Amino acid sequence: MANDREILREVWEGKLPVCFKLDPDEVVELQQPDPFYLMVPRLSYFPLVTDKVRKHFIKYVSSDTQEHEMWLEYSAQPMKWHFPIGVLYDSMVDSDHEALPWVITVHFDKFPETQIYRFSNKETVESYFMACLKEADVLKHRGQIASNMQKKDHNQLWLGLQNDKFDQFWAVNRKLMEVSGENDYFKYIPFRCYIEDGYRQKLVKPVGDDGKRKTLNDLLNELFPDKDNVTAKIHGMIPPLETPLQWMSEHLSYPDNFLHLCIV
Amino acid sequence: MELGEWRQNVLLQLQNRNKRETQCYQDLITQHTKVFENANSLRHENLQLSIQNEKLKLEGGNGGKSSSALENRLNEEVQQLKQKLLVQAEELTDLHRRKGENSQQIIDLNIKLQERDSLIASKDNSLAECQSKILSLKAEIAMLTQANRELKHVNDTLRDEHSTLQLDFSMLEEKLRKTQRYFVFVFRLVYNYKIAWIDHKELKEELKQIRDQQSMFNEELLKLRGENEDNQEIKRENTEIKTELQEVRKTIEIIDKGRRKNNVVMNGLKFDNNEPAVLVEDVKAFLNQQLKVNVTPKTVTRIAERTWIIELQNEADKRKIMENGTKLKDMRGERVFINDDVTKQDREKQNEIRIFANQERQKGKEVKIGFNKDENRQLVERLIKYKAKDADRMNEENDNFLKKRYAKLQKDLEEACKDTKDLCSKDIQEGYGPLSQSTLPSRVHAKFDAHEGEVNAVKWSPLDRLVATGGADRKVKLWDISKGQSKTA
Amino acid sequence: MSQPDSNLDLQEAENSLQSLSIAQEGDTPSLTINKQKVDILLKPTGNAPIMKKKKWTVDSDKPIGWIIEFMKKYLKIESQEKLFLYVNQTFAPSPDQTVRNLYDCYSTEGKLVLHYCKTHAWG
Repeated sequence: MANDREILREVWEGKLPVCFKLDPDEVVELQQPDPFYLMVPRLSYFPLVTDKVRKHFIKYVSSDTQEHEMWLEYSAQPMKWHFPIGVLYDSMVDSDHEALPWVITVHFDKFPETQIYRFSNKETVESYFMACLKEADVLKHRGQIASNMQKKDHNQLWLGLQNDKFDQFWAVNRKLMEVSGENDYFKYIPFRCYIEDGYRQKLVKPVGDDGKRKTLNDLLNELFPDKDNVTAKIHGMIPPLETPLQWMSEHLSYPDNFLHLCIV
Repeated sequence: MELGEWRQNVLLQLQNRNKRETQCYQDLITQHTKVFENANSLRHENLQLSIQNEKLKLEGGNGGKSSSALENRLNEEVQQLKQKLLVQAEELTDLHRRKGENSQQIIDLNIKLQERDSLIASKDNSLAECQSKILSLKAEIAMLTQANRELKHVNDTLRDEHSTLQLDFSMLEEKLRKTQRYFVFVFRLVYNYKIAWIDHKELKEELKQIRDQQSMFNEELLKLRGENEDNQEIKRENTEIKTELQEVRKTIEIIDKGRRKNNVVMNGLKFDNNEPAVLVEDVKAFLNQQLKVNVTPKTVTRIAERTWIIELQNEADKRKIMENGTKLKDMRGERVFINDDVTKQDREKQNEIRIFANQERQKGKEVKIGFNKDENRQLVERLIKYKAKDADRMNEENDNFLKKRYAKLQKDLEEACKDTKDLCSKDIQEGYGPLSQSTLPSRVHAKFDAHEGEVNAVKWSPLDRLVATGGADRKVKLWDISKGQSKTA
Repeated sequence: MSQPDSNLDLQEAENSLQSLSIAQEGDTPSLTINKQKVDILLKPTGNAPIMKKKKWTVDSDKPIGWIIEFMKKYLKIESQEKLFLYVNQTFAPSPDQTVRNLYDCYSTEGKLVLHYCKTHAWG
């Protein structure tokens, strides 16, 4: 059970200061717009927090691009909106050398179709989030818990995340973090390992065949058998290699119930 | 799930992350947002004003052609507006400057932050050193605790030894106490012995008194016995007289019986003539007529209105009459009975027989009472037996009662003797004397004629052999037990 | 959902299709065992049109989005129309999810079964 509220709280509280700047090439006004500063929760998604940013910059772009979807870019890379913000920061920013706030360029024109997907509205983000949640539950409980949940539970999860309400979210998410039946462990650990451009996913059990519980080290060894000294980053920190996988899955998963590990 | 060091590590990292990324910027950015919104609203206002200005300018241009006075006024207005605009522009520049200052401040703060970060890093290093130091100290502590544990062990063994020694000590102490107690006991024994010696002397005197009393009692007893013998003699004489009396009665009865033997009593018949000779004839005729019996009575005597005693010649005549007596029934509508003239005792006996016969009949036996003595004999025998049994039982009861009374008297006497004996033998044998013994009193020690009326209270003096009594005569008296007289009234 | 409508992208997709060694049913197993290729089985649900060829062997590095585009072209569905793919009849995988990851996690008997549908079917 995910009962270490202290950890869950700290994970939930994580916010990043972001400085949004409009691409100077897209400005049609005489005056350059001021940058827009915002604190964004690491666990959230960009489409959920950038309404104000869009409102601020839309005055400065040409009227024919105003209706276009806004997209974000950092160091010449378009940002994947369907990744949690924390995952984007951990995988794209070298936090040791780049100072905060995180400077992101805002675009309205030339949507990079080949690199990122369009999101027409927040419902798209929601359905994507729900799909991830279900996939995670398939891995953990063969999909028993998520499919037995009611629509209002799904709504509560989504609204809890959208409105940054810890208690509202965890009241339902708690059920997803329970272990079913007599087992002390999930069936498999839902995780994604971000490496280079994509991510890797594999079936990894929280306990070995010998009944010993597996650790982060075991997971990294199973995933990269030919590599040594792999360091995984999650929530802006590097968990110790001896951290048990079951505990990590319960306490360090993102709201979509996946462990998003960034290999550095 | 047990939590290890990794959990602490994760928590620390998360806390550091939130400090580094979130808490430093939170206030700054909210502040910035406020200033930013302010500037935006002002800019908006400015824009509105410039539009208004343009409008007015245009109006002014149009109006100039129609009238110069209006133009002048408009010019003045324009001038005023220009001034206003100037003020607004100044304000705007001021705001811009402030914004610049703010951003400068942000940059400065960022630099400071970085400095702080480096400081924190150095602090972290020192912290790590400290932690290593703590670890070494912990190891030392572990060693010390080990040593402490050993010392504790030694201490425990020492304590065990100490406790065994204490145990020995307490045993010895117990022994000492026992001997002391024994000593005290012996001392007390000696002391008690002395007291007992004194008591013994007193008791001897008392014993002497008691013996005197006993001899007095014995004398009295002898006297009483003598009296008892006298009584018995009187009783014997009494019984002799009684038997004589009974014999006399019996002879009288026999005589009476003999006299009445040939008499018959007749009831219910009336004779007109009272002359004895005529009466005899009348009765003879009546008997002959009614009973078909030919007898001649000696005499006929009237004893009541219709009751007559008829004296017959002999017993055979009487028998004839009695056997035919039942034929008299329902004669002339009047009832005539002929009965045997008997003594009072015989009548009583006959009554008894009748009652007994009735009882027997009720029990279901066939009993007939006839004049024939042979017929009645059986019944009479049974009655006699019955009566004899009753008498026996009465005698037995009387005997028992007497025996009991005699036994009780004897026992009382014996006890009276024994009491004095017990007192003298036991009191001398036991050292502690009467103090340790309490028996229920069974005899009167002293008798005080104290008060007129009720005695309400009796109380022993705790010191002397004194008793205080209080009575209904509103007097309090003190008594000396040994002398048996009142001291004060 | 990805909707590549530029000609360039279409061209690219077709090129990769041609480069695929599309395994016929009952094909030699040597091709399917290949480390870089995996078997997928496409099953229609609801009102979705049936594909003549269900079993395909696909380059494992390809993302799901690429498969969706390929199917749209194969079934001659307009690129504006939607096509949903489902794993285990439970969840829709992300378009940038690779076939390899799905195969590793959800394949049965050496095949990855994907249900497709023109409307939301599950969840």
